[in-house]
Amino acid sequence: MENTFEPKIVAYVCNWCTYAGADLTGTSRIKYAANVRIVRFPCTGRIDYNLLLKALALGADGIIVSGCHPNDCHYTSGNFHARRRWIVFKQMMEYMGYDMRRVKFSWVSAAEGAKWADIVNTTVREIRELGPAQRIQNEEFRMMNSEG
Amino acid sequence: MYTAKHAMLYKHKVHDAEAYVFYMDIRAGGKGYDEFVRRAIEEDSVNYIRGRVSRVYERNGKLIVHGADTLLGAQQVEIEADMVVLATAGISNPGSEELAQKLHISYDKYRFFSEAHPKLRPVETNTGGIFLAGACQSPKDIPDTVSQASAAASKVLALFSRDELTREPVIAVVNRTAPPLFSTCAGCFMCETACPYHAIEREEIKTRDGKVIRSVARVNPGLCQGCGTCVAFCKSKSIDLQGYSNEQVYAEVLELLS
Ligand code: FES
Repeated sequence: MENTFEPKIVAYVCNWCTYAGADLTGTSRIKYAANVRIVRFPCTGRIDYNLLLKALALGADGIIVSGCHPNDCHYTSGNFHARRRWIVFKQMMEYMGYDMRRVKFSWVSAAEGAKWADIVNTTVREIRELGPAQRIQNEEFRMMNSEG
Repeated sequence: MYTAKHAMLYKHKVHDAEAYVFYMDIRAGGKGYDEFVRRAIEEDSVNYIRGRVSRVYERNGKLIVHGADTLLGAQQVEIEADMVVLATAGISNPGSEELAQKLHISYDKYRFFSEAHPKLRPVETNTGGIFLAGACQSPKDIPDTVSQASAAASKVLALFSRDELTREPVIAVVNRTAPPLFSTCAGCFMCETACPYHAIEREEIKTRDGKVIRSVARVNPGLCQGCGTCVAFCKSKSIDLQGYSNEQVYAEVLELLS
């Protein structure tokens, strides 16, 4: 089971730091797990709850959200908003009984190619151990979306 | 640098006086700056002593400056001075923080305003139409201030020389679909507080005879930089980022996961 399960991981990253950082990982020829699918955003401030929920509803086994380090946001304050949103989101999801080990939040700067590879690899390893995610059903998703 | 200038001016006014400067490192970076300091030392014979002052105290109406000369093997120096001038650091204006918050421009931990990019956009701020020149950005001398001010002025001219402003390709928009003046915006203006660029404006929806029905948000396309923070804040999902709209991202994620 553990060897055959290939988790699908969605990474929501900001354009200015983590996306560039992931680029650097490639150009420095660091290898990392191919399970991650990167979705680029202008800034972590854009990354809404419902995008995370959507990914889970569509069958992602794990999510990585990553952006610029605090104070380094290209748009001054987007990542601070994202950080607050994240804290609330995490509590809400935990309250509803979702295993938040599947959702990772991190800061990766444009110079941290190796860190990005590291984050992806550890996430993939952990999620492999956790096994496939139970899909959030569409009804639940709709409910959460309208209430949240 | 300004210490050298003080000492020089003093020596020019009071010819038979002695001026002493205690220093550790002389920072005279710039064209002709080192020559200036050398001139103070060599032509105007200001006494430069490399070492720190340990104590200043009063004795018989004079100020005694007690220090060490590290170039002479940490020899003790004692100077009877009539006046002691402290060469303190240049700091930012006390009101700068408030001003920066009002203009929505970023500032560093010393409350100097930050430029949009240290190398490529040195006179622009993150807020469109606001430029920096002079000591608001960092301590600066006159030549640097003049060149920065000239750069800022030419940026302003470039802005005004075009008939139309260029904007970021990716900006947020509040939906205003038909029927005529409809918007799902509820007018909570959460976006207004979230926007780091002050790009959210209030717009009134009026009936044909000019009666205001309600006010909704509007994105100023010239100010918006397209970060999308307002999109995530919007409770009624009335605002979307062109190129990164919810629908587009959903479609992307759907493809990626299937
Ligand atoms: S631009 Fe990277 S977090 Fe805002």
